[in-house]
Amino acid sequence: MSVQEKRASAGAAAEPVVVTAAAAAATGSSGCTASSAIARALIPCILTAIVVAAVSSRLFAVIRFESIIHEFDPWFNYRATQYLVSHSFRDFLNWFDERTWYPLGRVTGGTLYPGLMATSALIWHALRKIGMPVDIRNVCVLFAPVFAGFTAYATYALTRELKDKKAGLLAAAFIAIVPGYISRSVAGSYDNEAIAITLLMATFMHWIKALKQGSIMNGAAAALCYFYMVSAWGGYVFITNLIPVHVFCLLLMGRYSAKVYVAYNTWFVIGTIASMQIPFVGFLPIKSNDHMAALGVFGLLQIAALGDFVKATIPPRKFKVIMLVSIALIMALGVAGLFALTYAGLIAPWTGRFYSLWDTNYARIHIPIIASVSEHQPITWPAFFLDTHFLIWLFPAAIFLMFQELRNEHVFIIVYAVLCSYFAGVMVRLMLTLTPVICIAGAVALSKLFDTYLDFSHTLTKDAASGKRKSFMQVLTRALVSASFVYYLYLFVHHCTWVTQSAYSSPSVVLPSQNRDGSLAIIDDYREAYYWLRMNTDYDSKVASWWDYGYQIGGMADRTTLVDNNTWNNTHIAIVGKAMASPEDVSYELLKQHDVDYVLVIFGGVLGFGGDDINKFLWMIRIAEGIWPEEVKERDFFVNQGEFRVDSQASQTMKDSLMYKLSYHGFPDLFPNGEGQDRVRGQVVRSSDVQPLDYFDEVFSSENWLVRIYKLKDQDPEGRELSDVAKFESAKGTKRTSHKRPQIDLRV
Amino acid sequence: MLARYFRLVAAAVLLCTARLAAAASREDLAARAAKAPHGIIPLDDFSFKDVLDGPRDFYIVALLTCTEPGVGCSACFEFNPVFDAIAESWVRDHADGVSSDDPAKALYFAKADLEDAQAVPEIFKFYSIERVPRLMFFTPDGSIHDYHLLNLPQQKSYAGAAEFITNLKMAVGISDYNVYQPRDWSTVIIAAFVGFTVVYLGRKHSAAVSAVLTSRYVWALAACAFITLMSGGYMYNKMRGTPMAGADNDGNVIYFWPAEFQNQYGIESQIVSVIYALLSATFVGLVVGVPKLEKFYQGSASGATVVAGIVAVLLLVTYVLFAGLTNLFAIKSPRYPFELVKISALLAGL
Repeated sequence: MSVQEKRASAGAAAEPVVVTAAAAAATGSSGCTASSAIARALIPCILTAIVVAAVSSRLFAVIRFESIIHEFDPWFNYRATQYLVSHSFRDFLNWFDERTWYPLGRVTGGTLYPGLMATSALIWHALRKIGMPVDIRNVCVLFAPVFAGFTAYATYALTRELKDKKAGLLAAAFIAIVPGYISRSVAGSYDNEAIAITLLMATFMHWIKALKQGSIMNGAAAALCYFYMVSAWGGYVFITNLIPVHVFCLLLMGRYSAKVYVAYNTWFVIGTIASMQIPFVGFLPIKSNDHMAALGVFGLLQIAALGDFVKATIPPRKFKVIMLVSIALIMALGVAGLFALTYAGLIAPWTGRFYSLWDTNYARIHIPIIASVSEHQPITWPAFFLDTHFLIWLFPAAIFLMFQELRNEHVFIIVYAVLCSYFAGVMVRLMLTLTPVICIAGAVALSKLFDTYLDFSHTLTKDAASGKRKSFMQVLTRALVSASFVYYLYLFVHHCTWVTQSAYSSPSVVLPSQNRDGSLAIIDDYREAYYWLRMNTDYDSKVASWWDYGYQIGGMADRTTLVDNNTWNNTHIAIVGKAMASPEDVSYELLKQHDVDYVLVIFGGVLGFGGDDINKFLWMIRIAEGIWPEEVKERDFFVNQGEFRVDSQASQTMKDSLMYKLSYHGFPDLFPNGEGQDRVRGQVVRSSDVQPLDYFDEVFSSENWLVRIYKLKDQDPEGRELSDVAKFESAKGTKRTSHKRPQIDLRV
Repeated sequence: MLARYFRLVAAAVLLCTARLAAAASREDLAARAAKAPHGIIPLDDFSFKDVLDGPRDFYIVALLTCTEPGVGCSACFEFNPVFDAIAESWVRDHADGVSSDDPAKALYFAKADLEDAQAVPEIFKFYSIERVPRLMFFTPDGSIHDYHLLNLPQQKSYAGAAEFITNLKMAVGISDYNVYQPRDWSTVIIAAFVGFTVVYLGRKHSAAVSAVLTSRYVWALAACAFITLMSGGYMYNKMRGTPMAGADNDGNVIYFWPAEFQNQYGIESQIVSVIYALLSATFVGLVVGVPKLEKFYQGSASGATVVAGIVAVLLLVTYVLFAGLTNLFAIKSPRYPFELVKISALLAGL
């Protein structure tokens, strides 16, 4: 089967599902009483189809490329999973990894969320037990699609509680194929978010059920799902705050009831104690301010319960006085206590990431390491539309309709929607948590529309009140409205399939590109370079690179790195930043102090790949400047009022920096007359701009020069400075090795 | 012969004293600063060389700005009060401009303002300034030509003053430079007035206020407006300070940044938010409004036609807006294949 055919089939699998779901809404409404048996049989079939669509639309990456782990963080998760299946769980929790953050090492077992790895190890063991020895890589690659199927079911169950099964089916169909969720759950995207969204939906579903029924069992189930979530993703703080805010809103609306009391207390007590069992979380739930809202609402609820009791026993006038006095007292005491505890250092202040959500300038000024991550940037409007298509304009309407009913569970969705739309606007990655509520709200709204307009049952039977059949006009309007929205649904399916296959199915380890004739070309420089490292360097050699590539080097090349994507130690990252930003002799000494053998840089100038190290260079400088403001100055890298140039007009500091030399070493010689065309920056780099390397030897450049690896020269046996050695050699007239131009076709 | 020689010597002595007199002393500058508002020495055509000429034993921060409305330098208007606050903070503790910790260090502030395009101050020509605002930093022992350009603070207003003072403290090497925020009485008065009005009206019309505050529709509209604003990418504009609109190569105004997925103009999110709001409104009309209308017109034949007409209009509006939205999206993402066909194109096809 060719790629195109498979693509078509994956799209085709997704298409009918939504339409079937819409049709099911119709049959469901017409046959609720008459043929509920048919509905009962249809619903499992539709759900199965939805799950199949959810899984298959996530397989583009496997079909077009291969079964491979994507991006950066998944490589760490994969490496940790490999460690878990080859060691015991106890070893895993006590894992000290000395092959990252050299020479510090990382207490990996205590600083990761083990839920993801534990789950896939469990699946791997279970499959072996039933006689299916699957490679752990395949378990990891297919993990996200399978859990997306579970998410679809959890969303169905959640939406069913809000309206009915019809809306539930629509919501499940939406979440199954909506790009905003697919973006983080394609096959190979083996990241914490892959399982977290499933657990998010499951927690909320149980929470709503517990609230509706005042059920301890559902409250406990919500707490268990919450515990699972805590073990899998740092974003659990979202639940920790959303549920208290929901309860707080209910209290403000005067909706205190025994059901609220039971549900919240069960969830809070079990959930908090359970979450403290995760080593990385520890005592945070009672110390960190991120969790204070949950604790505060817990206390408030006890007071509300007491107030409820007092109210029932004394006359209302007295109760009012008691209430006012006690509220004032409690607020004063609470605020004073919070300040005192924070001041005494007993409870931690909010974390940096949390601040950057509220004070939008905080990160840019105080923590460049957070601001530098592209996931933490604010989001533009096309991104919202790309991720949710027409659901984005259905969303406000849906929230408006929720206000019309406004049961407790609707308040939950409203709070979720308002809070999360703000968070997503501030930080791109939180689009992931917004997407489910958009799907749920959109499904509820659309299902309301179909309840009214897709109901043709009265065209056949006579109207009971007037004894007349519906007029032709009424039937026509109903058909028109239904048809136009079914058409939008049809467009939605096409949009989702297109976005998934064009935007979200690239592994980013392997880059897709086009040859001049339009055929697919695969740029595999990363794996080529990492494999070279694996095969040609000593097992214990240390590789310095910018932190973005730390996990990949650890996972694919299996070499020790100085810094990686964990970014737990800003100073250590700044060391690498300083080495890259300093002149060669300073960098050499710094790198030698850290036992570095190889330096790896990503250079996109030949290929036209924008995400290379020169484009990230400013962040390296900024982070280094944060630690050594006297030695690294951002201003020195600019010319004329903040221009960042790499050609002959570049500042001298820029040209002297190690990053510049390593990136452009030998680059101009590839071109006629030594005029190198940098295809990313669109500037001309001449041979005269690039000073020769005295302290480093080029040992490897990948096919398209995307990855370049340099070895630190050994110290001179006669004790001279290496720059003096180079001067001496060039005076003797030793020729430098010349470079061959790589054979690359122009790619569009 | 002797007389001629004497005259020459006299001229030389005169020149020397004139030269010495040209370089201002600390006392001189302190006196000038004391006379001027905010303690900022004005750099007019006659005095700027006296003030800035070396040799000197103090630091000068000079601001070249432009408040001529025709120039429209918004950065100047924004920075001027900040500069006033920076200078005032220094002068308040150091009337003579001398640091009390380290008497060897002294600091003065100066400013030249291009207020009238007809009369450009000499200093602008002297330094051939083309861009404003300019912050020039003169260090001791330099001549009138030796200066560094300072960056404007990145943050606005009071935070900007604090940021600048921190940097200045480092550059000069002094520690006794406190930040004083000029008290802005107008905000206090406005806050007091608004607070009083709110409390007064709230007491007087408490029933109406509580009706508004507990009204479902007020909250619903507020929540929907907020969500619409956020999904229009408002936070991006706020955090990045994007320009309202841009211009293409021919200088025409463009409202949508073409083929730029990661960037947007301010007006884009306004347009898109309005489209979302209208689409949502038509949808609510279809779900809530139309069934109510049907009930109202129940049993009348003409009523059914009216309802059908309204539904048709709502559907048409939805289609047109959605088509517009997909077309706007296609501007941002040129390879997007699923644009809805414009109604005009549909009619042309017929």
